[in-house]
Amino acid sequence: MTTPYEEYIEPRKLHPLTLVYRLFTNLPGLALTYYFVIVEGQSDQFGYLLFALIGLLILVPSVVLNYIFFNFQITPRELVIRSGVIAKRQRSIPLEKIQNVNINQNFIQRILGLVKVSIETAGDIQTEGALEFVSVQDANEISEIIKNYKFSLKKEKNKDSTDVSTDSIQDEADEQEKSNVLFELSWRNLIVYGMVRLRPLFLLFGFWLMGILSQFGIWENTIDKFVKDNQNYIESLDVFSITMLIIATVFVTIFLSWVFDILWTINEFFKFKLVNEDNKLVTSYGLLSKVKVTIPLRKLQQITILTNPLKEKLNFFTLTLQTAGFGQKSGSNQSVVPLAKFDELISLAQKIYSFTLPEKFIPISRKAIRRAFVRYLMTIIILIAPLVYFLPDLIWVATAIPLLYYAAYLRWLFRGYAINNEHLIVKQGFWLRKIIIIPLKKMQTLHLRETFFQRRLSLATIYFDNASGASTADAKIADIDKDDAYLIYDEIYDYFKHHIKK
Amino acid sequence: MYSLDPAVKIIWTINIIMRTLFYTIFFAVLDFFVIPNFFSDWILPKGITTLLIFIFGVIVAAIYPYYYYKYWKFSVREDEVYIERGVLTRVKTTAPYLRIQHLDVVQSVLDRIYGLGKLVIYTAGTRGADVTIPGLPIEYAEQLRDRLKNVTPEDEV
Repeated sequence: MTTPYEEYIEPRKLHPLTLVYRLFTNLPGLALTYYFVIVEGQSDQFGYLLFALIGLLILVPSVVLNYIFFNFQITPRELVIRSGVIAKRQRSIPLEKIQNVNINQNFIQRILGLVKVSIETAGDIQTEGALEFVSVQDANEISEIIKNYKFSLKKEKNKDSTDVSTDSIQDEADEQEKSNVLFELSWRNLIVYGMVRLRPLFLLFGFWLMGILSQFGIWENTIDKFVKDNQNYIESLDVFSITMLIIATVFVTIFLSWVFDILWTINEFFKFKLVNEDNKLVTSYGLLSKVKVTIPLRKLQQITILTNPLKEKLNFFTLTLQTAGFGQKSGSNQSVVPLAKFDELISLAQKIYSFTLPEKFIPISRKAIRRAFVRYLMTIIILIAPLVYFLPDLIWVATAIPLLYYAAYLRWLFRGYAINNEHLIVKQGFWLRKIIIIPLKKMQTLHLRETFFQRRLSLATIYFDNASGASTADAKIADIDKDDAYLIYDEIYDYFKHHIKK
Repeated sequence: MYSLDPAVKIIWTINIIMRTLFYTIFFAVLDFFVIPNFFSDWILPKGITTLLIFIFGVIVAAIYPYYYYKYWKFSVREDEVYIERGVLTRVKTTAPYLRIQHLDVVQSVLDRIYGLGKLVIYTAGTRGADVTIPGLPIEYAEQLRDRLKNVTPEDEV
C-alpha cells in the first residue's frame, strides 16, 4: 500500500472536470457576441458569427492547453507547481514556509466535485499558489501531508533543543488531535442573525426585485406604451391613493430586501463553526459555497466588534478580525463570531486575543458636529439644488435641515476613543456601530492630518496605519482637538518605539 | 528638518501646466464642438469655460509650487523618517525604519533632466504609498536608500 505522500511525488494533473468548469465559466465573456448572432443577427449575421467563432477558437484551445501544461507535485521538501504554455513557470513552495492551506468550493464546483486549494505563505506573493481544481480527496490529502510535514518538523526542532520536552510534544500531539470548537452558530441564531442585520445595501436588491416584478405584464418595456395603456387608470388616481401606493411600494421593497438579506445570510453563514487548531483559528461555513478559512493569529492586526441599533437593543454583537495580507495582497476581514451576546462575545474575543475594553471613551471635539453638519449640508445642496431649480416645489426638502444637524450630533455622540494597555480603541458609527481594538505595536506608519477647514476650527485627525488592508478608514481618531492630537500622536509613537525596541 | 531641492518647483510647475493644457483642450472640445451641436440653448458664452480653466491652471501653476515647496519638510532621524507637507491640508507622517519593507528610487523624465529622484518607502501598511520623498538630488536619494536599507531589519507583520 502506498501512503498518500508517495502518490504526490510524481507530477499530478488537476481534476479533469476542471476543463468543463473553466469552459463553462469563460462562456459569459463570449455571450455578448452570441447574443448578437442568435438574437439580433439577421442582417449582419456573418460578421458576428465570425467573431464568435474566433472567440471559441481562441478560448477552447487556451483552456485545454493551460490544463495540459499545468501540473503539481509534492517532493519531500517542496510543493512544486508548473504552469504556462509558451512561457513556462515553475513555482517551488518550501513546505515549511506554508502557513495555511485554504479550501474553497462554490456551488457549481460542489456539483462537479471540485475544490480550490490555495496555499498561503508568510513570505511574498512569489511563494503562493493555488490549485484550481482538485478532487475533494486530493484536497484533504494535500492539506494532511503539509500538516504532517510541519508537525514532524516541529517535533524535530524540539528534539534538537531539549531532551526534556518529550512530554510537551506528547501534549501537543494530543492537543492537535482534539481541535477545540470555540463557537458554533445555532440554527435559531443563524435566522435571527439574518433578521437583525438590516444592511442598507440590500435595499438595492429590493429595488432590483421590484424592478423585475413590475416588468411582468408590460414586457414591451416602453414607458410610453405603459402610460398610454394605463392613461385612464392614471388619471383616475387622486393624491391620496398615489401616496398610499408609494407607501405600499416602499414597504414591499423594504420587506423584500429584508427577506433577501435573511436568505443571503443563511446561505453565507450556514453551519458556521469556529475552531482553534494549533494556535490558528479556523472557520468553516456556507450552504451553496462552502468556505474554510484559516486565520493565523500571528498576523492579527485589529479586532472589530460590530452592531446596529436593533442588534444593540437585543444585545447582539458580531466579532470580526482583520489580519495582514500576504505579500502584495491586501489584508483580510474575517467574521469569527457572527452573532452572540455581549458578555459571551467579549469572553470569546479575549480567548483569541487579550485586551480590556475601556470603561469610558473619550469623546471627540464638539466642533466636529458643526463640521459634519456643514459637510452634510453642502452635499445635500449640491445634490438637491439642480432638482429644486427645475421643480421649485421641492423646496420643502429644506425642512430636513434640522435633521441634518441631528445626524451630525449623532455622529459625534457615537464617536469616541481610548488608549489603554497597549491598545488604541476607537468607537464609531450610528447605524453600523463599531468598536475597533487596535494593538499599538502593529503600527506601520502614523499620520496626522489637518485639512483647511479643520485648521480653522483647530481640529486634527490621526490615521493609524496597520497592515489590515481593507479597513483603512476605521483606524483613525477623527476630529479631535489639535493639541490633544499632537499629544496622542507622540504618545502612540513613543509607545510603539519603546515596545518594539525591547 | 530638510527642504527638498529647489529645482523640484520647476518640475511641479511644468506638471501643473501640462495638466492645465490637457483640461483646456478637453474643455475646448466641449465648448466648441460638443455643446454647440447638442445643447443649442446653452447659457454661457462660447469659450468662457475653457478660458476660465486655463486662467485657473496658470494661477495655480504660478503660486502652488512655491507654497508646496515651502511646507514640504522632512527629516531622517535615528529611528524613523518624519515628513511634514501640504498647503491646504497639512499632513505629518512618521515611518519607522522597523516597518520598511523595501525602498525604491524613482525618476521621471523631468526628474532626469534636473538630476532629481523620488525616494519611495514601502511598508506593509495600506497607506504605505503615502511615504514618498520627491525632489531629492539623485545621488542623495540613492545614498539615503542604501543607508535605510542597512537599518531595515527583516521583520514580520
